[in-house]
Amino acid sequence: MSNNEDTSFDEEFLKTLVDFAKSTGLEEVLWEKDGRKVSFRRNANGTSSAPVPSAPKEKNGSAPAPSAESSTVRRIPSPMVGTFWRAEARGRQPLVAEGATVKEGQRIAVVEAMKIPKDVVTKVSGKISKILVENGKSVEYGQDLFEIEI
Amino acid sequence: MFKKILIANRGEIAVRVIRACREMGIATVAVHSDVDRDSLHVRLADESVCIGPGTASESYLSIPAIISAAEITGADGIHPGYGFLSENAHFAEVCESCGIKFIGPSADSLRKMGDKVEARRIMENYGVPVLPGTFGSVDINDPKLFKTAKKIGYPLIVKAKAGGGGKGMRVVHEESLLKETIAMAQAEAKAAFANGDVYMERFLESPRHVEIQILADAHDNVVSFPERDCSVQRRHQKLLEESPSPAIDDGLRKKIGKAARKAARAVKYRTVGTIEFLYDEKKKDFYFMEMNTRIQVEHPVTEMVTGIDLIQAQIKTAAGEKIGFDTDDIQIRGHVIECRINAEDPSRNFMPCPGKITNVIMPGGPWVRVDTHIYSGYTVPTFYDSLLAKIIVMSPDRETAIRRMDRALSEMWIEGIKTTGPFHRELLANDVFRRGDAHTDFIERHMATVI
Repeated sequence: MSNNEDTSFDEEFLKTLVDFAKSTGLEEVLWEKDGRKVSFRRNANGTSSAPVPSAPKEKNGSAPAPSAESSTVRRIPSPMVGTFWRAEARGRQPLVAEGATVKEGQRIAVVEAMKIPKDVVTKVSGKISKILVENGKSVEYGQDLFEIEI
Repeated sequence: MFKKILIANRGEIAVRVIRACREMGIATVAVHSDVDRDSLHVRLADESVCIGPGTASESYLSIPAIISAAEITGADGIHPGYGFLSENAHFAEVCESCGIKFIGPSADSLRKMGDKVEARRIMENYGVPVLPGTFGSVDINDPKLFKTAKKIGYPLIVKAKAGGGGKGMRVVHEESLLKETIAMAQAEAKAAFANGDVYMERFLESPRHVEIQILADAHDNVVSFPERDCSVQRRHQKLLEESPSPAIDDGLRKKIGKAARKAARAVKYRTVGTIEFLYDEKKKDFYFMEMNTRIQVEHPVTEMVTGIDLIQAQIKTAAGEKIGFDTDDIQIRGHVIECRINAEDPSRNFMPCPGKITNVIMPGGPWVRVDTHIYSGYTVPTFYDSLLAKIIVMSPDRETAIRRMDRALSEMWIEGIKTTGPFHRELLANDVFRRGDAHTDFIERHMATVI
């Protein structure tokens, strides 16, 4: 209960809090005890969990969230509910990789429902900074698939 | 029994189906368009999947989107609700080919009853009374024309084979006007539907719309329920329904019920459906009009008056279970009335009024049931139908049921948008309605001044 203990910076504890926030999808955490306060806000990636939430249902982050986007990052949502494929056909190479430069109108992935494919087309030119969904995973209509730095 | 049902619908019926599944221990998947993200059915289901934008054709009517959602959630059954894909034979077939059970009748039943002229023909063959009429197109130069028309009887109505919505429809009161009326109807039909084929049918001046709920299982059992009288309509849209009908006695009830069960058997029907009849009160004749091969909006009327859960029965029969009771076991427990409350402004020709519902208080009390998806803060979207809520009441007799409904409607408080609630109270106060004399022309004839 010495003063030192009260004011020391507990990295372990902070890491636990951050991990806790990530795993539960919480965007903002305010922790307070005995005068010690920790608060932070996650840079919400807008990544939604798979469209089968079993835990307490939250609004998943599939809707484009303008407030969380910075001025240089744009997200490309899914045009359809279905399965997300990075290549245009099985066995082919992915259409784009992380870090790739893309032009507006370029096809960057395919979403398939009942054998009907729909092109995922980027509306902006820039660099693929993040691919938000794993190849072959299910996606909802409007779920964010790519992050593009313009 | 199903493990997981996907509800391919929205609004109050999606809520209804989710409730039935909950009570049966079946997991539920709600699908929704992005504008329906905050809808009640999404909140109540165990899982939800966003399947498209607001436009129905790209979401609730999109077969690939719905099947895709069923596949990714592992649903083994799809409940289509009413409207949307509920009577789409192709959708039923696609479900089957994907190994998902369509909770409804077979694609074949859907197809047969979806063609109105074909349905008439089938019913005629099975001895179900149909309106006298022709089964093919009318030839204005046919030497037998007048004989045929006389057999049908005047007044008769000339109708477009390819259409509906009041176009290409003309009533003929006397023989001397027959040929010219047919010519006019043909021209109108050609202009509206690119098909000038018309047929003739007896015209009932102001019939009652009486319908019979049926339930059928896969073991050849068919039961019919006490009738619903849905005569209070505006432009062929039902506003209020009641059971039993003020115009039907026990004897007639048995007769119509028998005809309805015959109709269901004629197409080897499964699960729930409704046979609609037109009832000529003067002549005490009833005629098959059409069959609705889905659960209907007004199903709570029958649930209240008989105490039988129709949605659970629908799911059970779809899963292959036996009905478990006979038509004779079904009791009429009182008198039930249902009012459909829409987001419409009666003073502006029932113009739809979407918008935000800032506050809502629904009625309650004894034998008052409310089926709704609205809540305080909910925004009614512009893309879909205007039904907000169904208020259903039961009472020992018709007079006290009317009083109870009026009491319930007086408690209902929906703030932020215009609704047809006040209009229904005017309807209940109308003498013709209170006497039990409302026929299908009731709104036009007796409520025009109120609007």
